[in-house]
Amino acid sequence: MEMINSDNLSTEKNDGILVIAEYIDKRMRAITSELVGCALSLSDITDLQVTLLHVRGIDHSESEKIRSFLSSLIRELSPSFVIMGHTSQGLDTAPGLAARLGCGCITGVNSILPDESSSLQAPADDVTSPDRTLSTKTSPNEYGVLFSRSIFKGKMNAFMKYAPLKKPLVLTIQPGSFPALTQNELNELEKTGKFKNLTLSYNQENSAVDDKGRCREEESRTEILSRISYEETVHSRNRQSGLQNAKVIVSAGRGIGKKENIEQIEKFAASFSDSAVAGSRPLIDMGWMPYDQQVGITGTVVSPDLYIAVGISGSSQHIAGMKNSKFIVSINSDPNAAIFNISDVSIVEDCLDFITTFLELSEKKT
Amino acid sequence: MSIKPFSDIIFKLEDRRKAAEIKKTGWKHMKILVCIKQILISDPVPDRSKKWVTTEGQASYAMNRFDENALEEAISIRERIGGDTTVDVISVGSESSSAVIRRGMGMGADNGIHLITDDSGYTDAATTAARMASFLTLSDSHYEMAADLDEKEDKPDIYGAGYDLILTGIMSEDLMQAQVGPILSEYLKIPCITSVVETSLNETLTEITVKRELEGGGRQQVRAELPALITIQAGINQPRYPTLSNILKANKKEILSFNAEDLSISKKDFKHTQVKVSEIRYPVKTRSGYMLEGAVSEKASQLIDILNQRGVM
Repeated sequence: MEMINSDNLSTEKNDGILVIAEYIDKRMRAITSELVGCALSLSDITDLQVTLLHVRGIDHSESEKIRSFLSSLIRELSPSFVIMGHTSQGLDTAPGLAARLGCGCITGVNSILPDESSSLQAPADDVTSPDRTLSTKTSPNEYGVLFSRSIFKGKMNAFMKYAPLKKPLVLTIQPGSFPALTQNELNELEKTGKFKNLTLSYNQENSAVDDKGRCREEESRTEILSRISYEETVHSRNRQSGLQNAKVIVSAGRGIGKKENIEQIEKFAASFSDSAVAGSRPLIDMGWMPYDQQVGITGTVVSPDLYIAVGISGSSQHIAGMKNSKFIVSINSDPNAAIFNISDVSIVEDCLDFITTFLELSEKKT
Repeated sequence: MSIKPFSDIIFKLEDRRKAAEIKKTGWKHMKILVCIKQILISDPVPDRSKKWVTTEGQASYAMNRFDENALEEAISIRERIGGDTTVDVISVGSESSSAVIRRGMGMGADNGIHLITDDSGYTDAATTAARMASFLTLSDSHYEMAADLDEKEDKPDIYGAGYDLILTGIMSEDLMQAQVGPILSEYLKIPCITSVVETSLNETLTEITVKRELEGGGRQQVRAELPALITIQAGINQPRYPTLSNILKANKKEILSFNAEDLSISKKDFKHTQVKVSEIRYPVKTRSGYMLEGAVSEKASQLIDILNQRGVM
């Protein structure tokens, strides 16, 4: 039974790279253009065509519906790679999708490179799929690709490879890792044929569940659709964070110790003209600062003249939010903190001691 | 260490009958499971193969922070509901992971389960989830239960492997993959909701309503029928410290330990395809990282000079 509306779908199995455009309400999120940038890098290594999929007629935050829709679609299209953003939506969707397909998933990918090593043979303990709709003719690792992701608070990168058995490999891409393409660039690329847009409508017919909520497929997993309901969503107000206008940002991380120490951070920031105080994700989670003071990929991305990171370890999500700052000074008691990899000036010292001393000395000097 | 007969595992047939009856009479009862992980908190040092980090030397460990939040939430739920509600913790990891299980029980978990592995390298999320799922669905009494009881109108108990609610941290601090929870929910055939910052159960304990955290502080409300799995985001609560009385109680209790290999958690039980590590490397330094030297006052003085030159003071 043909489950997918094939009006605008090629009937040939598309052994390519499927990028899932991320939508909030009806608006396509900016990260999507980074995903296409990533897909094109992957395409350069593997020589596969890129398809950007727009799923219309559904709120993408209803991830179980998206997952159900995509799992049917992927069985039809048979791509080698499926790419989503490493966002709250992407993470709510991608790992479960891969598991449903019995395939692998790599999250938080920050770079893609060819695998120079020669060992491409299949390990002995792999699983073979009896599923007839998934071809193992060309498997991802035959293309020899490594996917890098950040581990141990950014101190190391792990280069991942995928056992060459089952398509697709599902990836979520760390925001800020790949160049964002403009609409013009996307249009140009579409003309060259390396990349194409595909729009499909979500409706009951296209999903794996019929109008009585019964699943069409043998597996009963899609019954989950009837047991979960997505209610109200309140998106964060798209307000201009004060951080974006500041020339100097002093940003505090968990290393400052206690909430009370933020006062010292504020005094420190006051030593500089046109400054603002910010914080890393953990401080916002602990309620030490409000959301609009968060620097990072899920907060505000900043590029001030001077960024001073105090007690911040330097996880990739934070770095992605400030790496384009003109001058970066970092203070941390951990000599191996990842933040030092992207700093112009590194200071290994207890944060509060250093700031107190700095304030005393700068008073004397003025 | 010996393998316990499966009938000794938490889901004894009689307990399950009792639980089903309790549900019917309305007495409050929930079985909650929290998946916890022990993570490396000292500096990672690559091992010889450069495929993973070494566990030798000065390595120190702790419970993954997000799992602490998850356990705290589970215990809070137990306190809110009362009745016969229990919170179990489960961990898949090396021998040393028993420390976080003990800590979990010290925080107030009722039972601890340890699936012991001797992996020294990277284990991917699907394998970890498959091990848990294999263990949780092993008890045959489970399936007999569903057939025995006249539950034609109810959903079969095999969903969720006998637990009403499963919590995990949204991700682990060391690997930050955010995968084990969603994958486990697929294997157990239950709804999954990630990045939860608020939970609330209905009167009859058949549904959970949660708020998810979206970028920039946005919120999404989602409701799921139990059994369900939720992954917990850090902002939800402040985890409690273990109490002396809980620690003493926990020390008297045996952690249910199983060797993952002995259980023959074969990969054919829960189909998955492995992701492997080719190599781990230090990130490339992208800036000069000029390291200031000397005593605190000297460094502070140098920084003042540098920043004065840049005209920002």
